[in-house]
Amino acid sequence: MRRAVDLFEGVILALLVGALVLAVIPSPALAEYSSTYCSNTLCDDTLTGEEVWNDLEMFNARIDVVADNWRTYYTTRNPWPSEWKEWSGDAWAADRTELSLIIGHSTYEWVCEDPECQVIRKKYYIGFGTHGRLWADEVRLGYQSGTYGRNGNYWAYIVQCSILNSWDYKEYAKALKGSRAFMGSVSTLYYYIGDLDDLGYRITDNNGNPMSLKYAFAYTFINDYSWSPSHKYNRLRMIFESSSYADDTIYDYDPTPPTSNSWKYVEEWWWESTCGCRYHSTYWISV
Amino acid sequence: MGRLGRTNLRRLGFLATLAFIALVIFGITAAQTLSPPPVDLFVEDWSVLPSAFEGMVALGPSSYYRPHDLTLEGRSPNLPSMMVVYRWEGDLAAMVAGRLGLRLEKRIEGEGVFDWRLYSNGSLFMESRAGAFIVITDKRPIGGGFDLEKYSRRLLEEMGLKLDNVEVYPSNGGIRYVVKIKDYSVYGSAASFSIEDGRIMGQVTLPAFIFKPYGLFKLRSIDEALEILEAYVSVGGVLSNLAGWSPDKDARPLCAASTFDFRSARITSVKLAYMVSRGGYLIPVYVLKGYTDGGEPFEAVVDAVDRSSPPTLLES
Repeated sequence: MRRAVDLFEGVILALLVGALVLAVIPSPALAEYSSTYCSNTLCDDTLTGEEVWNDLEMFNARIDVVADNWRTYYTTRNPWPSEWKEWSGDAWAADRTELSLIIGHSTYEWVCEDPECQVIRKKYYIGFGTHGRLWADEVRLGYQSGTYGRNGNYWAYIVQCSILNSWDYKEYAKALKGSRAFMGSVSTLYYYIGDLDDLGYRITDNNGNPMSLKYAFAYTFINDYSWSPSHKYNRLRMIFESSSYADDTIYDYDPTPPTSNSWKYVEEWWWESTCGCRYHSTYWISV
Repeated sequence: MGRLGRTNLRRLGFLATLAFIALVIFGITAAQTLSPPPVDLFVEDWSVLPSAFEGMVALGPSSYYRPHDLTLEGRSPNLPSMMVVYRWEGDLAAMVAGRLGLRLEKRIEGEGVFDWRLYSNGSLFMESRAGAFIVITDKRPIGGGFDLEKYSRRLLEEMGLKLDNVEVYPSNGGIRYVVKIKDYSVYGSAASFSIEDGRIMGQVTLPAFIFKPYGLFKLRSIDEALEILEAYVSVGGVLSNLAGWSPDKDARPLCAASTFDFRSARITSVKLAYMVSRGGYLIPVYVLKGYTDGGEPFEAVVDAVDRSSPPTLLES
């Protein structure tokens, strides 16, 4: 008799906990739009941290203006790798929103390029400050990734240095599993406070002529204005599922998922001092 | 096991615990002794003058440390030991908008760069940040025989900006203006114009044109500038105590570099220029150019002001 009562109590308790969990998890029917993150080594720095965080919030506010029936989702000051990591289910945040952005410091380790280890190079990870890091094979974005299949990511900005460097970018290209674009930096990335607000404005409004996600990224981070001259040292790499998505604007959101295959379209952008202009090259890669 | 044996066993356990604690304390002490002591080589008195790179963050790898070696080739150039620092202040954009007859259409209030405004007269639009940096969009149709240089020069003059000491460069269909203060350039393009999607777009850094003398400052030596730059590139631009940067939260960048991907570089040219600091000044900087050991061109900019001594103020 006593065992039966214990069992009944356990079942009731489990149901209560289950109900609470369901109440806390957002409804899948609710539209999710943008997720942004700030790694804690950057955002907890009292000198610039608050300003970087404000910048990130301004980016979200710009998105909200054009998507007022959507909601900004998962804006996090101190994110964890699990928010981007493909694990037993799905990257529980970055992959469930159409537009994801992370800003912070990357991290690296020395690895051998050959079996005898005569040549070594740096391997760059997406950094989450003291919370850890993620390597390319742990990130999978888009409707073909994970098991939940809820929305899936469309576009991702990685505002961290060197993630898409010449050795590692093909590995990160594999992150596109139905996602349309994965945009980041080849080199150390010079960022000025206000850049994210500007990026948000360029992709949503830009005086009634929104820029494509790609060009807004290049316009914001590659220039030689006396206001932000170190931008001319930046070099960006943007990987697209197909060349037909390279000129996507934020208004090109299309619930029909793209087909993901092994061929990816790549654009590289940099400041060319000989012409005093933004310059870019394009090519296809197989991953 | 007898009583004596149990007592011994307990004592043995106690001793082992003590030994373990001692080992831990020893380990911690040794780690502290062996690791390099914190050094603050580049502590600056920012109350004297903000950094030339105010508002800039290098997003580099947080764990980076790799010693870099910079060598100045040839003799040190003959450069001045003191220079005038200029000051800019106030809402320059509002002033310029008034001169162009533009009305304030939208405003997002905020501190510094987060103060964003949109001015317009219906066809000419001007966005401003911090009242200092503006983006112009002219939506009027562009007629045949349009001359972008003529157009931009007239617009800049209508803004009340002096163009008597500017250098003009073509840039892939667009145009760039570099301001000179006496013999020294203001680093970067002070104004640039291009045609994008059939509309004229321009970007103007107003403090590069509108400023007044602030004070006469002593400059740091080129050797010191090189020492700072070496430490900066050695930590990948992410300021940390590893190369002598102050570990406190007041560490601000004194440099920017085109690349960190090298072990040594030859500096073949050193010049002085002015950098627009978002802190409200035009600050002298060393512009160093050369080549890395991989043969790639290298460029870096280093804040040139010695903040250890007070300036001679020139303002009334």
